[in-house]
Amino acid sequence: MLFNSFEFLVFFPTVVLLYFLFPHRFRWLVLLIASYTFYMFWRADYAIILVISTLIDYLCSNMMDRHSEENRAKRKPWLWLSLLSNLGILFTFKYYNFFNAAAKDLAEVLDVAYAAPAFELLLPMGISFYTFQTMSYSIDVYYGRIKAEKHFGIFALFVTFFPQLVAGPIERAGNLLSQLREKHEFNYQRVTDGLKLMAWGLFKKVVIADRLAVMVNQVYNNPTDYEGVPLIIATVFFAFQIYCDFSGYSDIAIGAAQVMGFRLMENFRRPYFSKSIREFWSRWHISLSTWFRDYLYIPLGGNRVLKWRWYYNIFIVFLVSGIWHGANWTFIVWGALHGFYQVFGLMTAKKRDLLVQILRLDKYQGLYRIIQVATTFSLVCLAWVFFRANNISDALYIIKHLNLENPQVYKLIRGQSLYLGLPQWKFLMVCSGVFFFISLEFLTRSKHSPAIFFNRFPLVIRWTSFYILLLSILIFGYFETNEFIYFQF
Amino acid sequence: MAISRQMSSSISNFNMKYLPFVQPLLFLGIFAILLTTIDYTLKWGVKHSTDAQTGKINQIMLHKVDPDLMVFGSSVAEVGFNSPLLSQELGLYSFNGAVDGTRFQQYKGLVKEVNAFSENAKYIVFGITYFDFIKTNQLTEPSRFYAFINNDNIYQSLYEIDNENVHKVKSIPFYAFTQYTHTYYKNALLGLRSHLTSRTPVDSLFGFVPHKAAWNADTAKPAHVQKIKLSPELLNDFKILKEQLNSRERKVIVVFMPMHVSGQRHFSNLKEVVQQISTLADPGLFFDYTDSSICESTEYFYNQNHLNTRGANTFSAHFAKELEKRLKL
Repeated sequence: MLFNSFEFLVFFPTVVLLYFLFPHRFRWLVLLIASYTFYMFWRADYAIILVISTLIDYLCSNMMDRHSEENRAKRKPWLWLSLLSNLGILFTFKYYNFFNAAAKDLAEVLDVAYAAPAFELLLPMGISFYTFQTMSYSIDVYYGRIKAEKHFGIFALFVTFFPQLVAGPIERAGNLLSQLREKHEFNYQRVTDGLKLMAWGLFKKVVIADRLAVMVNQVYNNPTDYEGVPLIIATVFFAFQIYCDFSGYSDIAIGAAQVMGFRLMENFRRPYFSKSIREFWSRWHISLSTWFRDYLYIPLGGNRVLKWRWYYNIFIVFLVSGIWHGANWTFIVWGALHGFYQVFGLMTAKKRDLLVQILRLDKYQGLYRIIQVATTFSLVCLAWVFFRANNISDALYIIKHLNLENPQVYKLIRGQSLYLGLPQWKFLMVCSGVFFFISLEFLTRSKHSPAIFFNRFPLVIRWTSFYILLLSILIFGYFETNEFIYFQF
Repeated sequence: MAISRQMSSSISNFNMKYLPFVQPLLFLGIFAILLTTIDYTLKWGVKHSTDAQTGKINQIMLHKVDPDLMVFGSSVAEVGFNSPLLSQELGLYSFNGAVDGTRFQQYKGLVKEVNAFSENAKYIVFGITYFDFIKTNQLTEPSRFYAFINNDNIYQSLYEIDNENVHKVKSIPFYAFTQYTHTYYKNALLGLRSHLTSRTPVDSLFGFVPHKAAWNADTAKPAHVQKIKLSPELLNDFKILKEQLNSRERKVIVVFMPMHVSGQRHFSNLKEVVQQISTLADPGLFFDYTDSSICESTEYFYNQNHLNTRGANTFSAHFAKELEKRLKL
């Protein structure tokens, strides 16, 4: 079920109503049934993977819990079983065909016989999200950070909790599991704040992201038809498309959970205002980047190692992050590029500081900040080219032709149509939408979300602004059933 | 003082108790009124629009045209039948009711509506091309029809193509907002403006939409040959519709529209298709223009299927003469 579908509009209020009507002891069951229903709207048979994953992790965690924290050796086999099962499911459905094709290509080059079959498997929606969530749970139980959940129903709900099941935020057991046991009373302010957040998320998805998608798809699906400015515009638009799409999903997820009394972790914190790539990753897909920090970077040694090893750790984390996103070389290059940015940033930090002092940029903080934000945004956009391109050769073509030296610039100056799959007036409308969005993000940068920015205003202004938001969704929204980009991961 | 304190305390108690119910209901109530007002205003505006396709649909659906001869079809018929010229040659008030982008599945609601209300229509002309009877599940610009979604003829024809969305548009309050396109909003504004300024443009071409463009394509280019698959279900629907038209003493004329020879080469079974379609017309009232000399010259077309103004004039004059002969007018 999509958050931007009519079905969800019926489903969600029904679940909320049932949730608050049922006594506390049955609420987990209401949410569990709702979560499976939510998932099975997509494909009923794939719910079996969720069940298998839940059963294995429940068993492993409880077996680990039988042995004391000091007796880790006895816990270890169960941890391995949990990790291998989760990674096995993930590998089978997501990566097998990719690695199989790569092995086949390599065998051809080496002139070696290779005959492993390819499978036509549909990628289960949100598989990377829920497997990572359950893996973190098993690891936390292994290290004794949390106790294993004894109540199978509650644990099953932790794995499948519908607001964040298919595209995160990837929750930690320490945060979510305890909340699933808590009794949540109906709280008017909390409910309305949650609904506002959901509306804001929907606005980002259907008004901005899906409108931008039309132009981005037109260019990125036929890149060789374009050069210069249209490629730059499409890449910048993609940066906003993916941000509005994914953060829109997260807002709806966080808002939906909030309505029922759950606090999910923040997933985005205005990432395009970051002054460095390092800062960008502390603001973008926070639940994933902190997951990698806690469960990969730190176990690798983090920064408490030799310098070269530190750089290696950082690079590996980003490479794995690229692979996590998808079984395609484009994602791997995207991850590697971000790893390179980080390592290069660290290696040159002192020299860059010196340059800033020589240029006396530190005296002009505003200008310096603008330069930093613009540079970071440009680097992020360059990496997005690989993320969005259909293959590496398309990405290389786009990067090679990202220039201003062609007649398209003059076309743009003369106000002629740059055909990007939309008429000029729609193009301008979309640009205004993006501008409005950035302005609002900037104006509300000190707030948790623009959605609750209006809470301090009088009722008339508050209501008027929400009527405008809802009307904008209805009038300017793009309601073709467009999935969220991160569903594929 | 005490009374005022007591009052403010009771208000605060009331707020605490009923706020969760009163405020959301009030918020939603105002929003529902707002949406209803906007929707009604938009619908009203659209119904008063005289612009392009929407204007034509409005004329038919609001029974503002009742010609002797009515043309139906897709854009091929819309740009092909010069209705003023037909009126002049045949001495019959003719109107081109063909709608751009539609197939028989979608425009049949309009035909049924004309059959239901018209007192004058004696001849119903269908300007057919190869895709009219190919089944589709994609509506073209359905929002042009949404102002009349409560009309059974329109609802049924749209429902058969995309039942899920069309049903939701009709039955779920405000769902239609998610389906309205910029054409809908544009027409609503045009309709409101023309009403407020009391300036209603006159459709002097009676639904005909001439296209002046020339065609400079390489017609010798090898064609990708494919087979046309007509839907037996749609052919049967047409036969039922024909019986309904005949029962109200309206003659059904079917014209297979001119198609440039380079376009005809794309289809391996065009002759067979023309043969099948010929059975749909009333006896002696089928016209096949795929063999016409018009099809040999690019000067009459602006693409392989669509006649330009010159082509439309030549074709319409020829058709009028032929029809006059056959109807013995």
